[in-house]
Amino acid sequence: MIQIDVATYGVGAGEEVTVEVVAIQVGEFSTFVLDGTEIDPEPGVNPKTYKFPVTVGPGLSHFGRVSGFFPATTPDDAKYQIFVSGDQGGEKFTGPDIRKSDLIPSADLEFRRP
Amino acid sequence: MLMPTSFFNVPCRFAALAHATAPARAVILVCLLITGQTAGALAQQPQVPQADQLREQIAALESVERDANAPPEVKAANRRFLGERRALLRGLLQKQIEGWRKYLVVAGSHLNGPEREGVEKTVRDLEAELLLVEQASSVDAAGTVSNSETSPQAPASQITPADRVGAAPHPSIVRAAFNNPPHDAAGSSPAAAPPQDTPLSSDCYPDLLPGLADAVRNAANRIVSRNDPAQIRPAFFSILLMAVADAVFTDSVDDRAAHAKFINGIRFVRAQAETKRTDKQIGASARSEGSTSAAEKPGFAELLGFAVEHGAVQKEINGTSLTLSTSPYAFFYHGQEDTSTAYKNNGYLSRVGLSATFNIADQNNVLASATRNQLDEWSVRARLSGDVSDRSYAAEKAWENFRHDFAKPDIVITGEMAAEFQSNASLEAIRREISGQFTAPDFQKSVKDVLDDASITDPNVKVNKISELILCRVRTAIFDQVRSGAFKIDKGTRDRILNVFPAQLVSALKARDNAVADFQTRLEQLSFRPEFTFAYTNKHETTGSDYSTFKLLFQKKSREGMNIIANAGLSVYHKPDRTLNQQRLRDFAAALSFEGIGGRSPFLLEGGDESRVTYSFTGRYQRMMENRFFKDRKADIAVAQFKLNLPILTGISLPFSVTFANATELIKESHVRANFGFTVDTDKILQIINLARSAQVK
Repeated sequence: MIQIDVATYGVGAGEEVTVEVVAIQVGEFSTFVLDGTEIDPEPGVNPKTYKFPVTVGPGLSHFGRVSGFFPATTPDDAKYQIFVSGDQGGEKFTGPDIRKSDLIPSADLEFRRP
Repeated sequence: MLMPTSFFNVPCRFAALAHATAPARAVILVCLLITGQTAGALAQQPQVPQADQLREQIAALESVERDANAPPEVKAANRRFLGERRALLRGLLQKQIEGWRKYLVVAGSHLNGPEREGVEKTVRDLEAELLLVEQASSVDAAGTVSNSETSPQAPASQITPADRVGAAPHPSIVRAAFNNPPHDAAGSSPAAAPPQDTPLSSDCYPDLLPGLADAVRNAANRIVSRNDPAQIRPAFFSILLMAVADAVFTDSVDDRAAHAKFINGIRFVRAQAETKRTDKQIGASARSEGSTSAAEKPGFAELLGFAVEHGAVQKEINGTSLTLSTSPYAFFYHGQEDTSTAYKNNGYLSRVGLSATFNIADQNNVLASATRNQLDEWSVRARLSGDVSDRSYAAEKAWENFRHDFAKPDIVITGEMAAEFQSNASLEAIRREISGQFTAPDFQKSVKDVLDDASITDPNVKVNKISELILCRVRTAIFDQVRSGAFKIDKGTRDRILNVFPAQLVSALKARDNAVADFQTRLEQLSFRPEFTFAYTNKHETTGSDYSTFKLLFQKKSREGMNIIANAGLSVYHKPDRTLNQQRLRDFAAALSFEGIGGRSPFLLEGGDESRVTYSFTGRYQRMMENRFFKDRKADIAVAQFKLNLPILTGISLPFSVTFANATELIKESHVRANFGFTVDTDKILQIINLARSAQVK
């Protein structure tokens, strides 16, 4: 996996992608959706971790989105930090974050096959 | 028209009740209550048509609407009757959905998987039916708009959907529909509520859709708040889809004005706005990133000061006393990020709280008073009951019941992205090229120039300027490309954008709004659980004997805003002074207090300050053991107090109390005492200032 920009990643065929969502000063109230399907988090894993295999052909992309909920009583600097990695190399990349002050509490993720 | 699911109908049969399990019986009973099909109700003829009757009537009236041979006056009357029945059905469906949602909040955690899924499916089906009913109502309203523009003299009531079949409205008519508030949505639909500060005009992009404005403003806000032009990327899907949909609608030759109303009703920001209620987020974070110390110094007071500034220890000054308080958990995550994982693994440390109160010797350097000689008392508190905070296990478990609805807009958006671009590599290549235009050096430089412009001190101005830059690029790189055919959207995709995507998204956003509201309610319910705390206080007396107090504290909040606080305990002397008739047991005491929260203070002018009027009634009994041996003292001391706290200005309150006591610890004399004064809360003042600043960014 390579990081093209904060929200865009280059992936290989069949690569297993891991999306990790770290909740900071807030409970783990996040969701991850890929290509119109909600992905369940890995059971019993902290922080919330989502995995999926790359199945699209060359030149195509997977479209993901992480959303986070902030209860009214959470501190203003609470946030969700996203990390992305793949099993075909590359490091664990720091992706976008979602802050309580964001107008839309979501972050898009794009996984491109070259 | 969708009919309710089999789950909804089958369990409502009485025959099933006798054989159902206890939870299932509960579901059935609630189902019966929601639908009104109780035995008593069934025994009588209903005054208001039930949903099934309305569905039948609507189907019959719709057939008249479609009848080309029906006289205009018949159609006019029929249309009115149809509208009335749709309104009735809409109300019934809304009540049923609300009933099931409340049921899920209250009983969802007690249902097994299939039962809960059945209820959730019923809710989804009811929402889908509601959407279709609203859509049909919107078609009527849109027909009025379209035809009133083309035929101003035609009475709206005589125009039917059938009259519009085959008509090809001028693009301006579709655009007019885009820019009219959606029928019955702006006021009542959370997803359609107008957000604040959304720019609805642009020099580059006239007639800007509210949903596109939301998406662009969100991206600009991300860019400004993080000072990073690349932050448009995590916010780009909504921009792309809304711009493509806008172009497709604009060029549509079909009469899609009604459907256009849906896209006009898409507002992304509502759910988050609900979580920004300032009346629920007044306290400032304990962890401050800034430090005011010029240099670090050795010594207890200096080290204590460092901890205070960095939030590990909280400081409170009340008159001539200084109270320092902390929790072992605060020291645990001190200097690192307070992640959910850390809280899970070490949150038990937050069960314990430590505090020490000192008499202030030097008002110019209050922390220097934190010495043994100035110590008035120290205290340890241990929470005995479970965690009821937003980060508790119970809160995260409850989230499982709401996360599916919360994810619905993302399902629609990423699903649409996949449907449009995952099967056509050449179209995907164009999409990537278009996306690249928003991270291209020329565009990034324009954005960076705004970010770096020192003459712009108002972040809101930067957000507006960057929003305009994005909109100009959206217009040329997406909207115009779709209309010109360079960014070719096939017929199937166009049909889906016209007929499916906007309605799905509106429905999904409503579902998310409901999930947010319901989950917030669930979190509040968690805080209503009773809390038990054990407290130990070591009291240092300057003129008498030192003693320790052991107390059991109880607190129970209620949804009506009434708190019940009770505590009971005893105190013992460390070294009883026999010459003063002291024995080991000093006293025992019990207190009961009812605290209420009233409405927002009527004296507050600052819009961001939601401080509430609070009041309390307290009764306290104390048995002072040594007083039994003094004639001028009373052993049994009773106190009753009423207290009112009235915020009068931001951060400034007027507390007022009336107290009756039959004696004090030292004087056997009943009395009534009234107290009032002013309290200044600097934290609150700073918070309001910060809120005002952050509001400029949003």
